[in-house]
Amino acid sequence: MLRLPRLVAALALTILAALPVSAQNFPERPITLIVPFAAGGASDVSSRIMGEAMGKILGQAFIIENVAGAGGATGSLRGKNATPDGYTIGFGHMGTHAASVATNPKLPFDPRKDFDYLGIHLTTPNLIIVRKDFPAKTLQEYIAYAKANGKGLKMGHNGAGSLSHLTCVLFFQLINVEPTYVVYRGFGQTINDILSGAIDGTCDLVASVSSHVLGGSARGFGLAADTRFPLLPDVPTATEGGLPEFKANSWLGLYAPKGIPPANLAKLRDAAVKVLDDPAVQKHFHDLGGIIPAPKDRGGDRMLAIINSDVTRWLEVVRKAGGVVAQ
Amino acid sequence: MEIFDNIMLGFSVALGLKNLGLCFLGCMIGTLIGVLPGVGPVATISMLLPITFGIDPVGALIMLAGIYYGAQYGGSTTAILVNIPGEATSVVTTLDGHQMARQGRAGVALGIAAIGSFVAGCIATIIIALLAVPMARMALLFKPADYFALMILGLMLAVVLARGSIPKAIAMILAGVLLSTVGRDLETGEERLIFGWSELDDGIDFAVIAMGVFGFAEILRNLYMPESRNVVQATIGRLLPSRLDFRQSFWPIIRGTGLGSFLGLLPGNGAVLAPFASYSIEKKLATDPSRFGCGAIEGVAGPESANNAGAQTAFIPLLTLGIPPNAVMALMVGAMTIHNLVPGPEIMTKQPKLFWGMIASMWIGNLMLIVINLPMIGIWVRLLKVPYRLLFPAIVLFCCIGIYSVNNNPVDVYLTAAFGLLGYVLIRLDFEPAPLLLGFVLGRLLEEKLRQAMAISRGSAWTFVEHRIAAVMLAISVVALIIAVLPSMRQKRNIVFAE
Amino acid sequence: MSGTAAGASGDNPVRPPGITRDLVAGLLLVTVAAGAFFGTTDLSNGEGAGIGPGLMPRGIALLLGGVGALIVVLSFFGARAPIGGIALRGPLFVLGSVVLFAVSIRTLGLAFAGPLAVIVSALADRDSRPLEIIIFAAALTLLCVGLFKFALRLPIPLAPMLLGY
Repeated sequence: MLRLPRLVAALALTILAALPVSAQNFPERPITLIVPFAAGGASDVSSRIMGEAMGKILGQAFIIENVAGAGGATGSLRGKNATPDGYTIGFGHMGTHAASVATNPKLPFDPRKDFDYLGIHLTTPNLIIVRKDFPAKTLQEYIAYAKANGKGLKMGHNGAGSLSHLTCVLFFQLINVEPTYVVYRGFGQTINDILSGAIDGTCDLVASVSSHVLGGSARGFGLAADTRFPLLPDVPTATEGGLPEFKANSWLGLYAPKGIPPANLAKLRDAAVKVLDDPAVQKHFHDLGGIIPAPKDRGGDRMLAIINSDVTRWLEVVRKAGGVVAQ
Repeated sequence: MEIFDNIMLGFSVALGLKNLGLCFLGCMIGTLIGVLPGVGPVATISMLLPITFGIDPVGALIMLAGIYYGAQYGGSTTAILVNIPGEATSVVTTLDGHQMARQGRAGVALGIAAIGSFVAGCIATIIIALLAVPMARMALLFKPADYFALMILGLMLAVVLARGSIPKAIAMILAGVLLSTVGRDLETGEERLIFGWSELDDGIDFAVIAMGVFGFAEILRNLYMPESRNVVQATIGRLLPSRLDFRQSFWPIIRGTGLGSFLGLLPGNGAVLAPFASYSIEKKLATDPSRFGCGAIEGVAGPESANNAGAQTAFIPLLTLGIPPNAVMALMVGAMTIHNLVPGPEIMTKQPKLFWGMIASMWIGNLMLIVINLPMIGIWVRLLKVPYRLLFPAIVLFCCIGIYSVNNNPVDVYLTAAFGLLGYVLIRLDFEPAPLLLGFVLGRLLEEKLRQAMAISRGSAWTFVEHRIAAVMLAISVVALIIAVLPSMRQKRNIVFAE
Repeated sequence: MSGTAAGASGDNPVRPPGITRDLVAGLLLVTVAAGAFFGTTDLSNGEGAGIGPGLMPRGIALLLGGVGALIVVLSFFGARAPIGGIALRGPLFVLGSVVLFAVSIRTLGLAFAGPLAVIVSALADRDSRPLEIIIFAAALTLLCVGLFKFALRLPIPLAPMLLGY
């Protein structure tokens, strides 16, 4: 039996819920998070972890929608064009929201203008890995080998415009060598030919290659970051190897379409930053091979600043390389 | 002996009440999504990933693996009953499986598919337990040049597999390869055969072509020829294979298992070739090859066994080398990383409970699947009693939902409609759609491996001779082509002279 | 079954009509091959070690054109299957229902796109009964919503206009 006060309270709640959307009640229904890649990769997994944790804070479920295509442009375009009410947000990374400006001449959006960013939640540095019987043991030896052999050095990457391709282009620009590129569809195929010895190596994210370096089936060096990576304490940085200019940090973050109500944006941003202190989230991200950004590097404004500087940088790298068109 | 200790450890993990329950749940979900046309294991596993966050890693992987091979079982059900292959690997099953259904032998076809899959699953599990490490090392002997030769061999097998006119089959294979080149080039990012339509940038999805040229085109053909749809419904026949059926299927199942086990362990997604290879071999070995395509039970038993064996041994490169051979295995990597497990050589030594528990659960899963599937045959066959006027709109809806959920993009649904029209035209012009699909599946690998091999050899075509595996496979391909084309040439000439 | 089909039975060879199935098939292949060949003229064949993006599609197009021409030639010999009638009702409603589903899934959602697809596709069949198919469409949609949306949790829009998701 319902007692009267409770019934009144329930009624009042129902009426309140039916009132026009006010920021106070946001969010009142599930929030869709668009991931512009197929399920299962680091982008997808990190988004699911974020969605799960943010959902707990905001009291609504997050629905992950994988909209793969055009290197992330298809899903990101859908995110840009979504109704700006805060109920649709999206995932972007250094490739989709910075390098794409340089590599995709038909990019249907401008990451510097078209989004309200919620913040970066994960970064992962790049490094060079080679097959385990490769003659060079250190970055210096590798650079010497590359200069001596030129086209004889066979480096794999995961498709035109992929992060591994761009990292290779950046690295070989710095040492002024043009190796032979062997192109694969995705990291699984690339690492297969490194393990089998068909090619010499690749440039990729720590998140992808850490298991193979740890297991001893491939050798890593030239970590493109300031300090060594906690997961791979034995891998020296590029600075240690004498090439401090080689810095490539891939970041993953969230955005909302431009122009969502400021109060809703504030709530989303707040949640996206707060979850990074959640020990469960921290453990998940650490296991993925990522670093959670330092407090000063969190939040939407910082993300926009990083995007602006990364766009400029990749435009320059791609221009020097004589153009790279993303696949 | 150590291996027995390991296997005992595996069973002690897999037979725990919770893991047993998760294995069963996975097999059920897998069978369900496999049966539904259009909803593949990739979409489902990705949706269920977050649910497995809360389960311990062994249980999570046991459940995901259950979904994966459950979907292989379920996929053959749809292929046999309504002639729609849910996955590349069940294309071949449509050829004779659906013909058997039309002859009232749907129950027999489903039964032999389940039994063949079970036998193959058991043998493949034993192979994984005993030989995982040496076989993984053997898989690494395959270089891009060898994969290229393997793909060529696969295309030659597709010619052998053709039912009708050989030139038309070759044309379909070539058209399939051509379709696989649509989209932005992997290496240069240039547009190919897109004609300005940027929706095609990433190429065409397999599911789009399969649902179009098989699913929708089949519906259109049945609507056009009402007598053909009634045949399926008129007779049901016996539900389980007879002694003769078993005798005919025994060797095909064994050969299919061997082929599937070997091809499945190749990290370049060799498993897609397994059913095609098995079918071609059975057709070549048969005393009366003309029965193939008209409901030969060997044409179901062999490929289904090959398919399931390949699905199991595909775990070898994942668990021992950390290389995902296909999209489902790539999802497994995602599931493992979430649980802080690093797929690779250390799994066996550092996570023996996981490694052996999964292997034991594969066998238990296969047992469960046959227990689930054999009694269900009666239900599936009764599904054919549903009047066609209700059955086909239901298939249309399931296909639409399935296609949409591949990329959550309506464009894929439009494209499927277009391929439905194309498939209908092809059927009316006496083309077989199966070689088209095979050409499409192999075409992309064919080009990628060719370009990789040539880049590695720095432009020397001798690489295909210098690599022994490649040379042997190319030689077999040439022989296979000659064998396939010669008799029909002679036949054609006779016809020409008869005029 | 379509009403517009004339002489639908014909797999058996009859008097040579001018246009045979094989002739049309061969011409279709030649057309596709020509389209693919001339559609890729701006792509490079590659130089040195690298194979360009144009080599494979153009090579395959040449082969396909050759096989198509062979089929055209062979079509003048041997058994001649007539081209047969073209059914419009089936393709129109079945493929039309698929297109309708694609148009409406993101705006109206599965709750409306589902029954729409079922009912429109059912029109392709003369045997369909209106009341039966309406009830069937509603039941099937309910089943799909329960299965895909709630059991499998696929992110399919249910009724965005009404529910917002």
